[in-house]
Amino acid sequence: MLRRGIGVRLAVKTTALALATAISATDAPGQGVATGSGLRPGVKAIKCKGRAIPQLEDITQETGIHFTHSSAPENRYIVESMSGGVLVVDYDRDGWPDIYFTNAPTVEMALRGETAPGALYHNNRDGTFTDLTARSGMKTPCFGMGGAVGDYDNDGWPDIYLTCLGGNVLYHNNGDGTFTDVTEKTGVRDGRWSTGAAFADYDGHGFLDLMVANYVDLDLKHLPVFGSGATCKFMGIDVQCGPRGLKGAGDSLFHNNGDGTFTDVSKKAGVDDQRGFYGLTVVWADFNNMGRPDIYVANDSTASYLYRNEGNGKFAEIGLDSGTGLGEDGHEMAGMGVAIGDYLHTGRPSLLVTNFALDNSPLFRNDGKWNFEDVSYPSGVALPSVPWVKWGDAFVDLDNDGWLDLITVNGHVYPQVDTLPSGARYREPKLVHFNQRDGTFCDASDQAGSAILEPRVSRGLAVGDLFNDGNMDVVVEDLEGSPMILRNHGITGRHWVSFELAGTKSNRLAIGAKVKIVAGGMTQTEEIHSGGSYLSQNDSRVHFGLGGATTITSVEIHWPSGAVERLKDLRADQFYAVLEGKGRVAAEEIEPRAKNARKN
Amino acid sequence: MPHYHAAGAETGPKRDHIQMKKAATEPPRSKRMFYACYDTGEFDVGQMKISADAVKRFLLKSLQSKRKTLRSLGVFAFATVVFCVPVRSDSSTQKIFESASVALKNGDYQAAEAGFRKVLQAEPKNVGAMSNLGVVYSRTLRYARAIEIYKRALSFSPREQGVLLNLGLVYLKQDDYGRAQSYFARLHRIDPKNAQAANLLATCLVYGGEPARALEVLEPLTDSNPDPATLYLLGVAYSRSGRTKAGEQVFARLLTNTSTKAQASFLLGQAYYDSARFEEAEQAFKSALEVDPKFAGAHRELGKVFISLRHREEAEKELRTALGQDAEDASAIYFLGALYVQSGEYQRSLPLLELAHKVTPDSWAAAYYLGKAKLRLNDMNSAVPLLREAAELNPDEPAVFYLLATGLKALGRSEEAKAALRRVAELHATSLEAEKKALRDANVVGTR
Repeated sequence: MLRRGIGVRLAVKTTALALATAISATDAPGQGVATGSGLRPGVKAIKCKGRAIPQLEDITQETGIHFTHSSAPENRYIVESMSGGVLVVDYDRDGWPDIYFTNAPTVEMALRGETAPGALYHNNRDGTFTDLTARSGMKTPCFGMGGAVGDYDNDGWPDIYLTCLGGNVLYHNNGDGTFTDVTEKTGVRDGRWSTGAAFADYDGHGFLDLMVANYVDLDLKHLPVFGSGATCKFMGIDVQCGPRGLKGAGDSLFHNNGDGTFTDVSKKAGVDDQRGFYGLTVVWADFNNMGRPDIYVANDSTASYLYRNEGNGKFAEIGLDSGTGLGEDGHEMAGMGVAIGDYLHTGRPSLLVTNFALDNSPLFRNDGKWNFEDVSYPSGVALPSVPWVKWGDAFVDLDNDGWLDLITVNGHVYPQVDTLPSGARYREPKLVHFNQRDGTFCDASDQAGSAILEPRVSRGLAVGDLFNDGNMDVVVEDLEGSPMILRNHGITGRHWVSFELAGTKSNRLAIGAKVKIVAGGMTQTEEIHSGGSYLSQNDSRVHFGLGGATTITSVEIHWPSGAVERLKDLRADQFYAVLEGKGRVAAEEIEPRAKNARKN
Repeated sequence: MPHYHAAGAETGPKRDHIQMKKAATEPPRSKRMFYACYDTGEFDVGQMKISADAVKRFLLKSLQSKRKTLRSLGVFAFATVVFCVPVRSDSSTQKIFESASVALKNGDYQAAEAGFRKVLQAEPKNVGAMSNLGVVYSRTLRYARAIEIYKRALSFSPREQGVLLNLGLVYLKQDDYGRAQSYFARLHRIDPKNAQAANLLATCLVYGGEPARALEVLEPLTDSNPDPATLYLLGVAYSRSGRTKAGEQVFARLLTNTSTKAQASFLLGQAYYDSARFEEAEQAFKSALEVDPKFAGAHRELGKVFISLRHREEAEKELRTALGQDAEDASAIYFLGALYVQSGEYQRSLPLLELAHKVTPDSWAAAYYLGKAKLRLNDMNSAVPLLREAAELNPDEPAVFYLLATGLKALGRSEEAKAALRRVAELHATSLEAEKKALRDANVVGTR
């Protein structure tokens, strides 16, 4: 959470510095300027006009989800502001995505030895969900933050890794609706304040490895005192301290030994974060299409890392060189959430990194050869994002036109901002941008349904087709209060296709597989990711909007094993199951409980 | 053991602000006693007294000329003075000490350093030599060494006020308010009536984010005939604490005889602007303009506020109005040019920034924004030298080096680009470490 104290600090130096200060502030401030003209007239917020906007309806009440994230009224400590990851995972393999909400106690509760229960909701396939937390055995694992999904032992059942303050938990999916804590046995506890996590097979051995970002070295019994120093202020008011000024915690990479255990190879691989930056979100993606997953770690208030996979078990940190480590003018971002997507149909994944209020979220366009350019202003996504503290985000084709759109959820860190005379507020609306197919996005935040404008204190966001109707829905976990299930009503007449992959030589969930389709004259590419957004996990099925196309001309699947599989002439509006080496298979071959469950 | 007593306040790098005329007096000399005389810099307070009239004259001149921002008043209290302190020593060491002191006064730091080192070889516990060597280190920007030697001096003489002052000033120069504050607080405890120590302590508290504590220090000093610098700090502290009315009253008091509501509002606006409270600053400047629509500088300052609020059109309008009032207002020229850069109107920014760069050749910011505009216009051959110039003028600004790296990379000068990026990383690391130290020093976090 990057605070802009720099303006004040520079202001007391020289006239030249003071001049620059006021101007450099234009890279950031502007609270309450949601619809102002901004400072870039050529790239001012572009409102969506003349296009159909899908409605995202808040149906939380109807779903039977009654989860509430615990929260402290004042967030006096940084650890009380950060939780709220949500995982969309079909844990029982019936073809219908289920949801896990993380939870965290307040500091006061934690010091009393109390915990806050997370919740696992089973998808009833009728628009409702049932709380099966107690049965699953995942009720109160830890001081929870977020998590990631991966089948670490390739048994066909997705396992869940939860990040926590003071010790993470790996839950092995027993395949019967229950989970077993295998943390100690597998060796992936970590023990620090972990935030983002993501699985991927970085060395192509067929098993999922695990990268974990850690945030701040924090001891609940010796917490920095609220409002006690210069870095514990925001706009002149007392707030929680950190992360600037606090000690970082380093990151972890666990290599899967293939026998149900992991080895910590962080240092050897060069990803242990010796600089002690404040890690929040980690994602794996094959940024240069070499068939090897690279790592991006969004660090808060410090430079973010881009680790290039060197292919020999080691990674080279090229964040600054690549242009993804800092904002456009070299300032540190409050790297919170990360969305990855090929929004330009170039075949290269770009990045949207969410950022603190008064800074825009940078959109790093992947120009190839490890060159990224921050195109957030010319693309139109920057300006509307400036006023808000932005967290979970996703590239997702909300209107099924074949082009990835963007959704971001927001919510301030400090409840105290409500006492300021104007500007920032604790509860904030969401942002929805639609892809204009020319590298720009238009803002439809006030056209996509009233739920988008409802001010909330949101954190995690995950996307998935919860109701198997071909439209990508959105699940949001808030720090305070209930989550939000946003049902996407889609656009009538638009087509889509969805693929569920299962590896045989590759890891079973096919994390890291790339799917390229050609349909309706468009070539789209998607990669299966674990983790991402902010502390969250999207549905691992690969969804493509097809616009008016009713057939998919060709499909090319690049498996993590290196194998390439091709399919041709598929009908649109279908879910396809693909088993590595076997091509299309019946859903039940890779989803044991899918028989008779799938709507189509 | 002879009693050594030497202290001087050190010189900071020359900055863009008013310089007070030196007020040195020729010290008496004796066999056993001589004076070490040191020029002091803008952070130095010394024993000077600034009359209220001087402040008013300065203020009015500033308002009229529009060439200085009223922020300068914040460092007004630290203008140049000379003060001399007696030192005792034996005859041979005394001579070396004396010539080293003269060398220091004349700016021959090499000779001064060698001299004070010799004194310390002969008399390792000579606090005066330690203190003066600290001044040499500080003037030559070797802050770590200065800190080390001052601390050594304090280990022999913990209540040595001059050393406490100098040590605090070294930290203040590095914007390390937390550490500076602890030494000024000690000075303040030793002599609660010392307005200089109180002002410096309050400066640290105000700019270190503790305006409420600064008020505790400043309020007792303002009961009767307060120093103008104290009043200004008090006004800033009130405004930073959200006590708008009290701030206004203090600024009005600062300008008692010739003040107008417009002037008080203007000062308040400045204080809010410095505190990044832009909405309040906007209101304050608007109030000034309501009373006096031609109030000098107010349109420019309001334009700057609008820049920070991202109200581009309003910012442009105000800055253009300011230039209409005074076409040579270098600050308004610069801000308007920089505004255009930030608005992506690079071509439009060029004539303004070229002019700003010409009239303020020591401004790294003008070179930076001109370089940025050229960079965005893909004129890398012009951009790189400008960004290099900005980097030389301000080697502590990561944005300069980041854009320089971008330009160098585009020109295929990858090794130079990498060096610039390394500087960016260094600067970010230094800044982060300073914040960690500040929290540790304030006992906000422990060192686990």
